[in-house]
Amino acid sequence: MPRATSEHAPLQLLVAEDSEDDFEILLRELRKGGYVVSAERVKSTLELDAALVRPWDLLISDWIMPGFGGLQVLETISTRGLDLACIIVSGTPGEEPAVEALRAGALDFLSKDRPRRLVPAVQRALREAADRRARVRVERELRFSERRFRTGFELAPEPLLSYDLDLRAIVDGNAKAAALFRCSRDDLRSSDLDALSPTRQPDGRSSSDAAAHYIRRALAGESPVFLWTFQAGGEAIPTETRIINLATVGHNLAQINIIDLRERLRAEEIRRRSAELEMQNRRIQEANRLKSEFLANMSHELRTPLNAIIGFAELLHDGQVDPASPTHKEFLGDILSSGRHLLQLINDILDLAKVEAGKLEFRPEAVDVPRLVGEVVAILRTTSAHKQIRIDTQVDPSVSLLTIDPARLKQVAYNYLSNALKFTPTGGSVALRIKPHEADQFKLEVEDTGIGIAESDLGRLFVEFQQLEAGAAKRHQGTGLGLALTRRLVEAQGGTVGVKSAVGEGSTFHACLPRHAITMPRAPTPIMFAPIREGARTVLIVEDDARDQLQLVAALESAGYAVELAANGSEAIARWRSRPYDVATIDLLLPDMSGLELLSALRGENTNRATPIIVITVVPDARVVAGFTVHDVLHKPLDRDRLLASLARAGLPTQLPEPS
Amino acid sequence: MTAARILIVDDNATNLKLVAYLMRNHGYTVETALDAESAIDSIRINRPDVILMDIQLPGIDGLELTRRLKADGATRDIVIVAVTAYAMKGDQAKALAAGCDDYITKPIDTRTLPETIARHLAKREGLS
Repeated sequence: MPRATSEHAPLQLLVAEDSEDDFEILLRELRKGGYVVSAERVKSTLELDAALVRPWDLLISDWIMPGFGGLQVLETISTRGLDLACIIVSGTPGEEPAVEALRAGALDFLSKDRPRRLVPAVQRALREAADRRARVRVERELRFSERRFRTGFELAPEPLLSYDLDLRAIVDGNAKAAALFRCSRDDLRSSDLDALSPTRQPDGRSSSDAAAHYIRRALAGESPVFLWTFQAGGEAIPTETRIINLATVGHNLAQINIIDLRERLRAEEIRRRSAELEMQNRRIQEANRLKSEFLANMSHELRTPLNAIIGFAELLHDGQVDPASPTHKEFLGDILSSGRHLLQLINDILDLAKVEAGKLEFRPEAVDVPRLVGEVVAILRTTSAHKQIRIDTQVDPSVSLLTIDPARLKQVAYNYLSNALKFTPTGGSVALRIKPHEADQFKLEVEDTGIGIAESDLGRLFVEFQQLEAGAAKRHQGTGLGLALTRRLVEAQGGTVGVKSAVGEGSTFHACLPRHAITMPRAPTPIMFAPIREGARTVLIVEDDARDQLQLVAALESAGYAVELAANGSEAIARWRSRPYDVATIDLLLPDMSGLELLSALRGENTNRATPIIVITVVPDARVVAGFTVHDVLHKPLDRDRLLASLARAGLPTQLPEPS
Repeated sequence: MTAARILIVDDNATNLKLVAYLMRNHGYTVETALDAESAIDSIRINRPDVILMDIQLPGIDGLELTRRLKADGATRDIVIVAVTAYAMKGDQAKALAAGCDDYITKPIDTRTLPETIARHLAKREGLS
């Protein structure tokens, strides 16, 4: 059943018609067709103008009226810009007036002779009018939305690009984007992401491969967010970039949001540096406090035996003791033992000072471990026999031959053993074991059945002058330096110490050390280089750690590269200026300047301007290079294959002659 | 006059022996203690006139023991002389602040220590 507007509202109909009869026929037809009609008839321009002030669903007009006509009606509607559906009915139909009426905006032209056609014509006219109104509304909304979008795009505080994902081309960029890339907006429109980025991203991926990957993800409907380094005017611009697929009909249009991270990274760097300084300051203060404490303790410990030495010597010298009495001899014995104690103390302090200053020399050599252990036990035989303490020793065959400084190993074993004897009651037992530990270490372990140590005291054990109290009557002899010295000796050789204990259950002290000590080079560049082969590619290695130097030199030379070494930043800069290199590897933690300072200095030189730099760092974050152009960031511990792969990516594959 | 009684507190047996011998040789009645707990027992029983007090002791240290003795009416009048290997700046002030009547650093001078003690005893006699 055809209905006009809605179920309840009647069709608001305006009719321009001079004949009352025709008007009635028209209404009758419409009612027959199911319409509820609320109609008004006008017969002149004046009446029409007055009626048009109100809203109408439909206008039906006669074509020819006295002093008035359908054409005029249509023109009035059009002039007023009204969105009103019009149908013309005529008593004298013809092709010419029909064409004229339709041109003037009528939706249909009907003959009064054929009233049956009226209802279908009205239905169609109303439908078309509704469609047109809907279309106009959608178009207007689109226009608004487009304007809103344009304004947002233009005025956005961050750089934005419009991007065609299908064509892989930048469609437009806002003013901020043009400023970021230091070019005009026209330049942006003829550019692509590759052209605005360095050849490779800091993580080593090629920029065009990586960009293609993110564009594929955007096409799949994701909005990928990723760290991306752009490049403008030779400067790398680290950013956080997001591709948002706008997916308009027919186009895979995307918006690319760019957040410039340079400021943030700089701020982070400053924050990090100031935190570092703060830490350093606190460490220095703490070290200072410990030093004062150490000095006070040392003074106390030296004065104590001196008190006995000088005091007894005075008594004897001043004749206060009968030279023939046993007391006289006893006091001489006290002077002697106090003197020996003082000597031991001084030796320990000197050793400690040497370790502290890094001046203690370690002379690793092949050591027959069971023999060395036997010698240590022999020294302590008197003490152990006196207290009837059994010493068991056990050396695992796999570690019976070690490369280590024998004097220092003896010292560690002696300190632990004499300590164990001191705290083990008469009749107890002590065991010394040497066994393998991890892949390349060994573990020296001394277990006693002594008094044990409270958990709260374990932390003080390896600290200078921190003797634990063992009851006043049993206050042990000792300098209070033995364990501290042991710890420092072991740590200076790249090892660790530790203890497991509980009160009344004895203690187990251990030291873990490398099975085969490396002679640590102390001069800045003591490494002997292989003779440089003709035409070999030259790598500048900037690395201060001796062990890493060795590893890098070995890795690169064995792959056919010629290497030069700089142990600090200033040496690196001097070499960098002096000659062209094919590639450089840089450690970011150097003694004399920060890695970023060095990168900035190297990149500021004219020589080696295009030389790839590979950063080798312990910091597991590619952002450490903070926007400097680097070929790659590799992490320590360094993997030789990765290093060689990275060199190959830089266009410098290994040059070893092919085996023929 | 009966011999003045001296208590020597020191956790180092050798040093204890030295000072004890010295003071006995000068006619004092000497008691010894290796730590604060046995010192407190000795004080209760022997009522010493003078205590030669080492500072670094296991458990309760010499400064704390001095504070306790000087806070107690029954022991306040005992002359306490700190005899210590703590000889850094500020150590003397710490000893006197704890209530020690005098402060002597190790190594001691065996030729002047007995005189110093005699002077303190004489001063105390004069006051009472």
